[in-house]
Amino acid sequence: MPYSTNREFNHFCKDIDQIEDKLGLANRRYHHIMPYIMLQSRMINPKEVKVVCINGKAQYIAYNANNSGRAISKKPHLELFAFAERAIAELSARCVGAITNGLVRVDIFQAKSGEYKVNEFESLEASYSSTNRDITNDAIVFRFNVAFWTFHINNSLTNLSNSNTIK
Amino acid sequence: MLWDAQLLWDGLIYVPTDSKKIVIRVFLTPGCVQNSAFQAALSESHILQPYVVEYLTVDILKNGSYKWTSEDLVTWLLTSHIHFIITHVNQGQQSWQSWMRWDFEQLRIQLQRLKYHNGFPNGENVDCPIFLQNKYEYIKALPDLTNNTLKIEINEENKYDLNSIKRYV
Repeated sequence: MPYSTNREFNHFCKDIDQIEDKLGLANRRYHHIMPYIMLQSRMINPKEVKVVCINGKAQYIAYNANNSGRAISKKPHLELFAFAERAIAELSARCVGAITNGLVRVDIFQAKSGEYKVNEFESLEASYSSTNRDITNDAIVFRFNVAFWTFHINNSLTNLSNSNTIK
Repeated sequence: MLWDAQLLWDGLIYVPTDSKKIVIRVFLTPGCVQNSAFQAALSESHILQPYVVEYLTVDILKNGSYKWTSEDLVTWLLTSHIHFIITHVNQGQQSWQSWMRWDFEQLRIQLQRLKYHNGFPNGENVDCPIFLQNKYEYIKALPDLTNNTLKIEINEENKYDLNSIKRYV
């Protein structure tokens, strides 16, 4: 489900009849709210790893209490981190307006073939606590976020000053 | 918050009435992840003139007597010198979007009005699919890096092209 979090309207359908049933439910529940829903194949390994990135660079794996399945990466996670960085770089190149210079968390699955797949990106509401509760990691991201907002506040003040709106 | 919602219906004023102070308006959710960093940034910024920061949270949208629309939200942000949205606008779909019953396509269109307003996001960033959580947009942009996905548009007639779904399955 787009425009949502927390597994909104996340259903496992075994056949086309069940899909049709869920489409009816989606229509009743979301018509005039959500423009569309998405149909995806189910991952055999449900393990999802959340890679915290700042300014397009992978930093660490975020803590995720509710996650089961086979591990998809081992320390130092070089391949996984390279994938997360590639995903952000390609999104930035292909999607005009994508905000990729701030905090972006890339949630990643592993397909049956072994390939990594992006499940979703989160930014402004991405929880970024680290797996091992490493407060150094968390502090680095916090300071990055402060710098991000400070830049935007100061930039807006400069624009305002140049526009002479405030006398 | 001292701001009076009635202001919106008194003439859609797109600059704050008190232009002696910089008016910064911020939309966020309760428990917003970015709020503490944003507060720290405010205290570290070089705001040399008097300013006022006004916050609008989902609680106010939900619990007030007036039923806010997405147009009202964006107009409220526009009626400032600087706007900030420091949350995903969808955040907590289950917990508040359902209550608001806003049409997300309408919200997306309304957000376009922020393009030329001072703040964040503005410009092309108002279309950022991560900010909007418009998931199919970034899936479509990254076909090699994402799970194969079929987009099904919800329609009024509740009629769907089952053949395309069968082909996908």
